Amino acid sequence: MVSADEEENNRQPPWSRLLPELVSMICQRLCPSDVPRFGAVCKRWHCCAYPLYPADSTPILISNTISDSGLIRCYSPYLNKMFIVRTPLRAPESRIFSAAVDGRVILRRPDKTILFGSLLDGSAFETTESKYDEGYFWTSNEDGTGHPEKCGILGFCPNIHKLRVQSWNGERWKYFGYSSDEDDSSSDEDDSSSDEDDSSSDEDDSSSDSSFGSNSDSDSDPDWDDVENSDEEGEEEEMEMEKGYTDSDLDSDSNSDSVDSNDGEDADKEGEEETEEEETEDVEEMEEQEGNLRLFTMSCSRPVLHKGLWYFLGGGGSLGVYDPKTFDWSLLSRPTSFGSEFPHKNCYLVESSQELLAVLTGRDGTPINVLKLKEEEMTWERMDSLGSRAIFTGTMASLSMAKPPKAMANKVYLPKFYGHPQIIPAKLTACRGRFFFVPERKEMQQPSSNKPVYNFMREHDTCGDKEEGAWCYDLELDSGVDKEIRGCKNMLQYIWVHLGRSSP
Amino acid sequence: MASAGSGDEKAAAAAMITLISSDNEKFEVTEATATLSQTIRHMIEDGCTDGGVPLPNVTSKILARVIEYCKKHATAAAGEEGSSSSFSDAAFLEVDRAFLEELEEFDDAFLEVDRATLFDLILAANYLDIKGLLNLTCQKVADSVKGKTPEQIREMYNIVNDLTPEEEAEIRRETQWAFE
Repeated sequence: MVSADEEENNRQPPWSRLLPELVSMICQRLCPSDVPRFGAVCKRWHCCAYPLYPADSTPILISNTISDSGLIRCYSPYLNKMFIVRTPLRAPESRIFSAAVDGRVILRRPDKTILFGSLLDGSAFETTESKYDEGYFWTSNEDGTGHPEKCGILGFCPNIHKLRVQSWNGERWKYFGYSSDEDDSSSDEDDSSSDEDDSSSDEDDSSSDSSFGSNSDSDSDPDWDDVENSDEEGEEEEMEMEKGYTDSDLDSDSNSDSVDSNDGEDADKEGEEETEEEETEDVEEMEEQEGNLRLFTMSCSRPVLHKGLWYFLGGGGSLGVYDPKTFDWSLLSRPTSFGSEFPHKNCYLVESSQELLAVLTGRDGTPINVLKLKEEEMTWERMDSLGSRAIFTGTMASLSMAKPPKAMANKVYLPKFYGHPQIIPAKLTACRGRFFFVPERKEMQQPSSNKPVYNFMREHDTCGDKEEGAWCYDLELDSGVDKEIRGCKNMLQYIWVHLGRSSP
Repeated sequence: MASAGSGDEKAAAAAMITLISSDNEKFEVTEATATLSQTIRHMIEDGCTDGGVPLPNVTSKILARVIEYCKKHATAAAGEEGSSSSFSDAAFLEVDRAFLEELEEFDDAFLEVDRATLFDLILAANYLDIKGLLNLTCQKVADSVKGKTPEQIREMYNIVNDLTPEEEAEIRRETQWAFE
């Protein structure tokens, strides 16, 4: 840009006095991440810089549906603002359960397909119809089998007797653990009951059925999972396993080939036959595990991938583990419970910096305790501090962020806030891998709105302020019961997602 | 400079317009070239171009550059019109692509100017209402500040910081994420 004749031209044009419309025109052409610095150059330029907000600094709460007119609500606990985002994506009657690195959200459709749709440009990819619409869905590039490129979606449906897994591999669905079918080429057979779970539970999961989610309470979670990285559209694998018969036989046999497409039907049949073969074992195992099985009712938290295994949190603190390599499902004999000193209404499982954490919440959210799984002894231990981490929980999906903005460190966020956050109609835009909420013109054009909006930004960030802001529990203050939670508004039908991040 | 338009097709050569810079230099251009400027287009439509079009806000140095841009892009526009009817023809697409690439190269080279000239080009493009040139020059400025701090931008563009320390601190606080 520095050209040869620059020196010869000593005249210094008055850039700072460029017509505002021209400065605005330049500003409109900036990548959003450059706009704040552009606006900090001088007064004149500052007036021309448009307000915008980072959408990916922390996880956000996203409404799990997109309105017919293409609006979706996103609450940022960092900014304490509610963005009404206009998206070209249309997905009627669908429920968001996850978000992905490239601005996509992943939805379950009423016709039992999964839709990967871009909030940015509305482009979408839809899987074929799966047989079942039940349980917890999870999207990931990493399915635990060491083939990240293969994976898209897993759907898990644990209940007292079995774990069923559906997986989408980019081309077709596969099923593990269902009694009669193993891939989508066979006829459909459906658990209608589980369908109900889904629909009812996202309204208010108190209705979720006893097989899982028995603990869920009304203040939170839809049963959609959330954020992980799937940015791909096309690949999911589904596996389903039956679980009551546990970790062994059935599953491992019938599923071992699950990766191949053909195991499907055969396996289904085999599945049943196998049962015979292994019946005795099954029975034994069932007896062995019956005690555990009775105790194992899923918490309202979706399963979590940790060191290659999927962990399912039981309501009382027990854990179920699914190994995607061997298709084994087992209930661990330990930990047996969180401990009587931690009464709770809900519990949520989250992986954080290679650790498995359980967040226990009380009736109204408090008291909150964060327990860590000590993997040597397989016991839960209360944590006094999260260090720099922040945890976002209280919805079906829980997320941990290793390095949140400083003010959010060592805090646990639930889907609750105080006061009345500013509501901003906005567009989601991406630039150089980052995501931004850019307020729609209307707001910018409101007289004098530009300045105040800009000024308000971050004024109430995080929870420092008791009257306004996201509610959070500060481990450092360790306030025990935070009375202030009573005035909070609960965000029903929202889930935590981290836009633009594959993993927090 | 004054011979502008001599290379254009005979048809267009028929209608020539004379542009007069602020320092009184005369430039003769085809109507097709001149009408890339909406401002001049309107003057032509209103029939007020007899005896030349005075452009008191544009120096001859800048006007020459602007005309250079317009000539190139007027040819491009003509080419596009010609081929648009047969958009499905692969050969035409090939030609189009080559032409667009050439145009891009031209634009890049065209923007190899010092900041004072860039500034004047923006003003001229705005005054003459030449959308393509305005886009191009504004984009050039936008690209130049990419990833730069406010201090660096001020230095590049010789801008005095007239924000008070309080204002500056507040701006930074509001948009801390952008400075991290």
